[in-house]
Amino acid sequence: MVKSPSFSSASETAARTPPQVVQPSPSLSKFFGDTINTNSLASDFFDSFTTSTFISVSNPNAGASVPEKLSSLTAPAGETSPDSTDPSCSAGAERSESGVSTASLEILESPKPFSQIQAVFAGSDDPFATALSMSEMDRRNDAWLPSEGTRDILTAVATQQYSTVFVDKENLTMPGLRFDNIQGDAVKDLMLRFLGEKAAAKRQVLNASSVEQSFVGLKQLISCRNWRAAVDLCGRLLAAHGQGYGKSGLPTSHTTDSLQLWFVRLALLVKLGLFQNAEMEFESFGNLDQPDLYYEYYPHVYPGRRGSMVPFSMRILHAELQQYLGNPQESLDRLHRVKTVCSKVRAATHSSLTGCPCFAASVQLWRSRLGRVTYSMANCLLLMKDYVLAVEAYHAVIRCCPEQEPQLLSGIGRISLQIGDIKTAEKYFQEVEKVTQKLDGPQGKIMVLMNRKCPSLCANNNAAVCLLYLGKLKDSLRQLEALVQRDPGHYLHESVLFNLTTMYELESSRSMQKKQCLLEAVASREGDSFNTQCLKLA
Amino acid sequence: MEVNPPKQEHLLALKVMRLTKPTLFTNIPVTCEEKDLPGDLFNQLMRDDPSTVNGAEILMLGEMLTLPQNFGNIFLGETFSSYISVHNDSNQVVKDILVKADLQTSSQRLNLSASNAAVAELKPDCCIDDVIHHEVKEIGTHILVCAVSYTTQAGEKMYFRKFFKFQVLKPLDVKTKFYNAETDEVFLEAQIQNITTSPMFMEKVSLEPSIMYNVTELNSVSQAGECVSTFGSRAYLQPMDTRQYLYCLKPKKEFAEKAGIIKGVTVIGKLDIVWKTNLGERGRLQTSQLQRMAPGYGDVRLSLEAIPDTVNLEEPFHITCKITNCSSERTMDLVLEMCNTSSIHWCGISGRQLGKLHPSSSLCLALTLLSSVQGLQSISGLRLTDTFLKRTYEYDDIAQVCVVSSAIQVES
Repeated sequence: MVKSPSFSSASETAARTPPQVVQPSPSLSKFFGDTINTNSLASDFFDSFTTSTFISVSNPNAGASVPEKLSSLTAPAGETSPDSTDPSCSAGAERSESGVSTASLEILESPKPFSQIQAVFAGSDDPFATALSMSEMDRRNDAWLPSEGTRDILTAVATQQYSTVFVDKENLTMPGLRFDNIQGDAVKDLMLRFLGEKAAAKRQVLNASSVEQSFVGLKQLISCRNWRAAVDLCGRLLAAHGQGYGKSGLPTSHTTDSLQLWFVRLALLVKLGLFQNAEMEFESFGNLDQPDLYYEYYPHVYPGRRGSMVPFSMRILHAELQQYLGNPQESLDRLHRVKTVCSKVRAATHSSLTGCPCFAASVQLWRSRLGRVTYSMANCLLLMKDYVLAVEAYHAVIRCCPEQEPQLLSGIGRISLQIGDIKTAEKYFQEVEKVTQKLDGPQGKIMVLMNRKCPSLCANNNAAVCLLYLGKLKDSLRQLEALVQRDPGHYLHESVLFNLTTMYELESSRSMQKKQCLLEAVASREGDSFNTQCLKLA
Repeated sequence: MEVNPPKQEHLLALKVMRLTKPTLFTNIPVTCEEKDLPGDLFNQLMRDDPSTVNGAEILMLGEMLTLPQNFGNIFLGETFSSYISVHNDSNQVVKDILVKADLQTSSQRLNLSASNAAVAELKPDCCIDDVIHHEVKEIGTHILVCAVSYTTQAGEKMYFRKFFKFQVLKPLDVKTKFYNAETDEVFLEAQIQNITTSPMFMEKVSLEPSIMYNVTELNSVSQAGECVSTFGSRAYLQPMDTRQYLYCLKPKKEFAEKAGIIKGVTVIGKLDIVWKTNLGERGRLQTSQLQRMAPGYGDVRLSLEAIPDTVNLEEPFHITCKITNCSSERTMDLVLEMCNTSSIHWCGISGRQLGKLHPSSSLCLALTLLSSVQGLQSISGLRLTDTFLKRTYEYDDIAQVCVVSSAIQVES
């Protein structure tokens, strides 16, 4: 059994976990003498107080008041016995940097550093500084309905000053990385095989070490499509949090940031198609409903804050993952549960917030969340090939997101095409034209243009496919190659390359050379997330 | 698919690709909210992805067509389309190229080439393209034989062949069942099962009757002036799904007399089935002539010409019977007796003579009766006695009628 981390008055009772370590506050000379960071800003100074691995006896949440920092891990991190290569220590320097740069991430008003110092040195348990940080937006975003068992535990935690709370290990989330790093860069491997070492050496992509070890670096890796590197970087940041490789099953604690890191890591694994890996690491999170995933579980770290730490998008991801693993029914079940909670929360917040100025924002948020769940369900039904239900579900999405009506009607038309029901497909495509005409003048015209001549890649690709079926291989190839050459940064897309390589193979026995040319084009532009199967070089 | 690799170096290369309909590319949408770590990044990535739908990036089914990556399955009734390309891999001009494509089945050999004329010359790196179509009419092994003959620049005549083997599978399983009605009508129930691996849209299933019958199909209903299928919203058949189609066959007037005394096996007609699969890939099949074993009627047949569906309780209603002398030589002198059952009460005179009935002819008789019990009642109790042979034929459970309480208005 693991004690609740907020149970800080420690050690008299038979502590099965090591008592929390108390260390003196760091010497000021640390900052004025030794240079960890030669260009440290004043805020570095303040922030590093909150990110160092110490706990004040009087204020155990000294490091945790500002949620955007990884500092809150310090409280229970004492349980993981620090060795000489204590990740939390070495990460301290890194995290002080992250403290600076991630300030822009959260929109909520963070407490002024000055008030943090007060909290540290004042020696009082007064959480008013942290109460300032709790905003209406947080409450709205984090609102969730815990299950009965979880609710009981959370209530017990809230009243735990009267009796100790022992939480069964089964009810705790103890995640850890399940694999150390992903197999580097598939494009480079292909280059080594087909273009030689010299060419391969020229390929330069950002990896986890070439960016800032922070959220900023992470976002950089994501936007330039080096997702494998991004997954690795998430792993490192999570390891710093004590949830690294081999740490699964070990007691730990969670913060907003740590859960965001997990979300990003798992989301990127799904984008990369590494579904089994994602499932392995999702395992420890159970149904995303364990008590230690709620803010109420950490009343000293997040005093007064309520709701779930789990990002809503993580719940969607958790549900959708199952359909990619071949369990679409499980996906649907999970999505239904999410939808039910969304509806209940929406009803509850509506009744309590009517007349309140933030009512509109709340309505908007929960409407969009319900829309997202409905979208997921429709996609899942489509994957299950239950076309009748899928079409019904897409109609429900249209009701949620009326601005997407033309695209969705067009999508339903395509579903009919896939079944072979040409007449119904035609009806839907005509409906699309009608709907787009109804829209206001300029907006309507733009939409019609977008549908008629959808982004040029799509239209040109499809035209090239049609040319092939008409017996015009050379013309088709010319069209596709021109397209790819015109804007390779944009148009070196998996599906187009699949078509291109298929046609190369049809054209001649010398397709290998042309495929290698494609590889070269890809090598200089695409990140490590590129799906090399489409080059058909294996 | 290729069976034998080429043995010597040729200047020309032959490539064949089956042109199954393309498929639509699907995406994996991953989103997050503004407040999450990636902010707008995930959404931006999806917007930049050219294979997502503009404005509806979460929609999994994209708009891009992807060429088929493998041969796939081909079914009886579908059209086999293939791209045949002959490419000049060498750096010399090749002359007099003749490309022939034949399809060899277990029973015949068909020529598929669109043009049989030789191409005068083919420059290096150019190709001769041809697309062949063939409606597959046999099940089993098919071999596409492509033969290329050409003359090199030096004047040497060259020739090579390539073989591509593929199987044609059965797409549908058809079971039929006949129901003989109390009148001369015959109902045909056809159970059609999709035994392919992809969903099938049944475009048309019709029964082409033999000359003896007129057919009415009972698979659509007129609703608000429009013809609506009885299958409702389920417009397609998933793999292994079965659908039942119902047809009513009525013998034509000139055959009506005969139909009553037809014995043995008769030919009813054949089913014509047209379907479509992915992106409109069409298939068409016709069954062989469907046969029906006519039920034996014995010497005297009693059938119904007219009977209401629903009648009021304890109110007399009329039926019209047709009595047919099914024998070929004997003239009959029949006496009709009506016996009441617990629910059926006949009105009229029982035991009357019906007059002489010549062989292979029939007479119509109007009768009145009423029912004293509600619900679906079976009409029974008619007895015909042949006075010459002193033989009585009993007719029970001739037909059913629905009896309702007179509080409910029966539409006439």
